[in-house]
Amino acid sequence: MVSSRDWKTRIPEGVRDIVFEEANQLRRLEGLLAGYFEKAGYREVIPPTFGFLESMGAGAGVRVQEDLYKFIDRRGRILALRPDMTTPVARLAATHLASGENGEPLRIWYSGQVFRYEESRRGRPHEFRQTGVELIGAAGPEADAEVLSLAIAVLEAAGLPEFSIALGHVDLLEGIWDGAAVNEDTREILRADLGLRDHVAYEKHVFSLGLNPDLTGILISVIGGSADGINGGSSGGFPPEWEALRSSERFSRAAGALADLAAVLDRLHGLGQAGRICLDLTLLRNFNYYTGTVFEAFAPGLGTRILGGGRYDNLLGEFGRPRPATGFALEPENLLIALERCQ
Amino acid sequence: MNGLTIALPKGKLLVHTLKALRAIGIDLSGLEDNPRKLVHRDEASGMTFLVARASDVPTFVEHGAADIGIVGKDVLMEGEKRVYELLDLGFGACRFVVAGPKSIASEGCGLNGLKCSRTHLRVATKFTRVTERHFAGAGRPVEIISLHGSVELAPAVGLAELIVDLVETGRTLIENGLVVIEDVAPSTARLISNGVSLRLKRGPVFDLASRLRSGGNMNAPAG
Repeated sequence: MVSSRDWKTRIPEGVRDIVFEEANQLRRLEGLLAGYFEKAGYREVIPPTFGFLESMGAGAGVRVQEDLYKFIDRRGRILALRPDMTTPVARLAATHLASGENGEPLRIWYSGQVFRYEESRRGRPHEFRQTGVELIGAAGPEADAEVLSLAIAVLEAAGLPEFSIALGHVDLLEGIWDGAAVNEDTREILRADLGLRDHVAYEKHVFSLGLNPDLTGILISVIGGSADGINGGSSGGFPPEWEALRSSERFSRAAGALADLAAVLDRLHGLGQAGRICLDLTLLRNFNYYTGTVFEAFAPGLGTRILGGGRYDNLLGEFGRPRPATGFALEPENLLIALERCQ
Repeated sequence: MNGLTIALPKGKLLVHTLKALRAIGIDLSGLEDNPRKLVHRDEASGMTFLVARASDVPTFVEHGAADIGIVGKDVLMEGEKRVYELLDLGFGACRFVVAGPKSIASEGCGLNGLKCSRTHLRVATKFTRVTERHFAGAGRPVEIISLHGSVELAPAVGLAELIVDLVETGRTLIENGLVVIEDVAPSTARLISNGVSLRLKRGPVFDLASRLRSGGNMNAPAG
């Protein structure tokens, strides 16, 4: 047993001290990102670190709700530390920054710590830093391309030589399931399979639906089980099974998403950045608020993402003023490790 | 740089694994000849092979020390690592079962068919996570007793009423006077991948997966 005196000199699992050189590198990196975002026309906000549970948890799914750091104020209200920056920024934008000048979308950047309980002994931080942007009031693929392009540009500006951005679309996955008339109970199972990264179980569950071979092929194509499968970046093409999505009425939702993705890729191609993208429909983000494109960046030597983001058109509505929005959050601590490992 | 690093499991699965690799033209006889060699670079395929304890294979893959690995589903279920499960290789079949002594159980009687007055059962196992999930799913409160081996002994000496163990033929259970009460889950060998490798080395990873899929002696996924 540890005596109460010993706690004094310890710190809890999931937090850490950042000392001298690393603190210095982190500040410099965050400074570089801030400068880049300012130059791109984004302006800074600093939202509070904690708030009411209902507010901080507004965008979180059940999983994340359980992972919030919660405490009680002196009147008995439940408070929570922010689990991400997007939710408090969305609250701020919906309640105080609702009117953009001349209908111009809001361009916001932020930098700060977020807090989540993680499973024990996984070596994952409970407190970590996020620096990112939100583009609020802009719908459509141009806006998605703008933030994706910015994400690629800052990773390059930071000096990361090799990285890849996995790009998915919530409506493409759900739209494919719509077209195959997959019911909600089955979707829960399929989402769980993908969430657990279990492609074997996904495939078995798809086969057990007893669909015709074409539909089965489309559902399986989601996990990209061939070497020349989903790779919009270098080959510029979608898997052949997806041709059917464009021509069939039942896949209209998926076809819309596919057109979105094609438009985003087209823009990035024009900017010479499409080579950084690989399509990945199995990409599921931690938060439930995503409604369109979703993406995460990966680099060699680092087992986790460097940044993640996507479109969340319904989150501001949670705070009373629906507006389309898209953005990403970069994790500077992970980026520093990736930079170190590629040297 | 794009040559894959592959973690292989020591022990029983290794023989099947090497056979499956040989079937797609990857000959690792250098590894077979020298069982103490832990790292093997195969010049023909440009791949590097690591031999690790089976339960450590997912850890090597999760942290990216290996791009992909071959390991039993049983290890994945107990380890709960963040790795992608790409392919059911079909070999190395076994299953998790709940078993108990004939004095309180009969073959396939299920948890509700037990002749035991204790409401809070004690379950001895090496696989505490699988056990915890199974009984939580069944809505049965149990006390889990973690052992590292000789689990079949536990009911005989009064350490636990039941055990959860991995069985192939079930012979060890019979020899210890135990019967299978119910199945927990089946297991076969799986091809697993690191999440970042799956994105950055997509071509080579899926290429190997599809060669193993068509070249091996695995079952087609059905039903």
